[in-house]
Amino acid sequence: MSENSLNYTPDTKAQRFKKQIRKLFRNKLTLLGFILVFIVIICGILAPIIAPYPGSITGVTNFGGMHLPPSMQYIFGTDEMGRDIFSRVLYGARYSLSMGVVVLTFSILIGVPLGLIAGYWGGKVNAIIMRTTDTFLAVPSIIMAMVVSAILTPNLVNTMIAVSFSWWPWITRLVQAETLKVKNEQFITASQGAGASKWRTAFGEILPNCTSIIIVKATTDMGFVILTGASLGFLGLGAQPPIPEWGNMVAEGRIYLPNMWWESIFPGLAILITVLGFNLLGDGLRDLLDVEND
Amino acid sequence: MSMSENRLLEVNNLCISFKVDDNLVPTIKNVSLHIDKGECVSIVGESGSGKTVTCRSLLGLVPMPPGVFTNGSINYGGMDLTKITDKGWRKIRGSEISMVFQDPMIALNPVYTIGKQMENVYIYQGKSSIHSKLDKKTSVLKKEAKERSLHLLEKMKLPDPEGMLNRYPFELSGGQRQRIIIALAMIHTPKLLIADEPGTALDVTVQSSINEELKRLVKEENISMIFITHNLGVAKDVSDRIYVMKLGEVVEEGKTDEVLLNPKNEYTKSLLEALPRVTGK
Repeated sequence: MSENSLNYTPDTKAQRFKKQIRKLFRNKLTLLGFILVFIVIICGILAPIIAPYPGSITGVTNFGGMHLPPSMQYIFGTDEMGRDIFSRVLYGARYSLSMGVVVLTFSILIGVPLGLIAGYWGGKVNAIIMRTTDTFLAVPSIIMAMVVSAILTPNLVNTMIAVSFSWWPWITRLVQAETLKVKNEQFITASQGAGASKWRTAFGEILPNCTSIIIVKATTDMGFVILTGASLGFLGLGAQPPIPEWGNMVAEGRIYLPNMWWESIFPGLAILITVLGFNLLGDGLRDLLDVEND
Repeated sequence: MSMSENRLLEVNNLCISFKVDDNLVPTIKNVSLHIDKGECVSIVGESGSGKTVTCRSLLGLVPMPPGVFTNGSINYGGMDLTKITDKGWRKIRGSEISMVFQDPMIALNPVYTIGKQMENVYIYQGKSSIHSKLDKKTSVLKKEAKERSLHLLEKMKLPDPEGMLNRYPFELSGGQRQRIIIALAMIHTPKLLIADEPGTALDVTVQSSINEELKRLVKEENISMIFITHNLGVAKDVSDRIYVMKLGEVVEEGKTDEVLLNPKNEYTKSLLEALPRVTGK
């Protein structure tokens, strides 16, 4: 055989990965998104070490230092109870990130198998699953989440349940559409022709072809889930004070606007940075994975 | 019926219709064909003549519905394949009858390496669910799968079989993929191999070398083959007997040489005349 084919050695997995990473960060916006997300994650993890006043996350009051503007001592200022906003924002990252991760994990665990089954089995199964998701999608997700958290007692765990409840149909829909596309590919017929069972074909052949789209969706959705969680917090249906959740910090500071702007602005900025970061990163991943599919 | 012991598969008066809206559109009309052990049979005919549907029905790959068997039977090993369940099919597909698909560019799953795909077919063929028990330890099976894959890739004359196992389909050329697909179909040494126009999507030189190796491999492993093609030249090289199909019917059958040298049916004659010639007029 020709020399070319013998000299060509395929990349190892590590090399392949490295190349993809380099390709991903060639886009400066994606890099920015990654950096923002990275900072938020680090803040969340290292909150107990970085936070100058870890006591501020509880309900303690310090009436001597209420409503102090940003200074060297309190970089983001203090709130109505004299708590350090910087420390609270740092801890807030933990709640928001865990919110995103938990909600998306649940949504994917429920949504992906349902979407696969609906798309692959088709017929009545498809009709039942997809009409159910349509029903859920007919109600805006924030309203759906509000209803659920209003029925349950408002706290962090219930907010997660509420948001998951309104989030899985999106994933189901996406995966169903992708499954419909992939299932008519010849390699699916080929795998059946080679004696694969229906379940193996669905989960072993079709699902891996949907992973890229699920990853992109999850990354972009991360920002929106955090936003939804914060909105619920803002409306008083999410995590309850004194938990330093960004949404409810914005709500608490709202009454002192515009004079004591720092009380709402800093948690608001934290939400902005996080959502923006995940969106930029998601966009970059989408471009990368689309190219790969061609 | 002295031939019957030697008979591997027999299709009797097979009729398949497709449901379009409320009408049944007859697609395969009274097709009868048979294949003996160790025999190579060609089915030739133009596009849309029902070659592929006939052969896919031998593997239960015609989607039902919209497809319906309206008459006839497919006898294989004492079973009627038109009446078999999903579970029964899994036993047959891949291990007893297997198929090589038309277009090599789309018949491999893009997300798995070649080695992984061969291993999956080797280990999980016919297993009912993802968690069904395997007869041996997975590590042992993986090793066996690798040996068998390497053996077949070498037989198919692929360069550097070891390295090939770690590559993804997109890294390979069409010819290489088609060789791999053939190797995949052979992995359990089926009794019958259905080759649905292998190489039609490839250029002629690659096609002929692939057909050459396919023919040799089939002979060596003592596998019967149904070879679907629209190219009479290829059919002549590969097969012992030939069936000519047109509009869902078998219009002529017989020994390859007889049919090609002395065609009785008008359609066969026109097919032969359509062959491009380099020499002559």
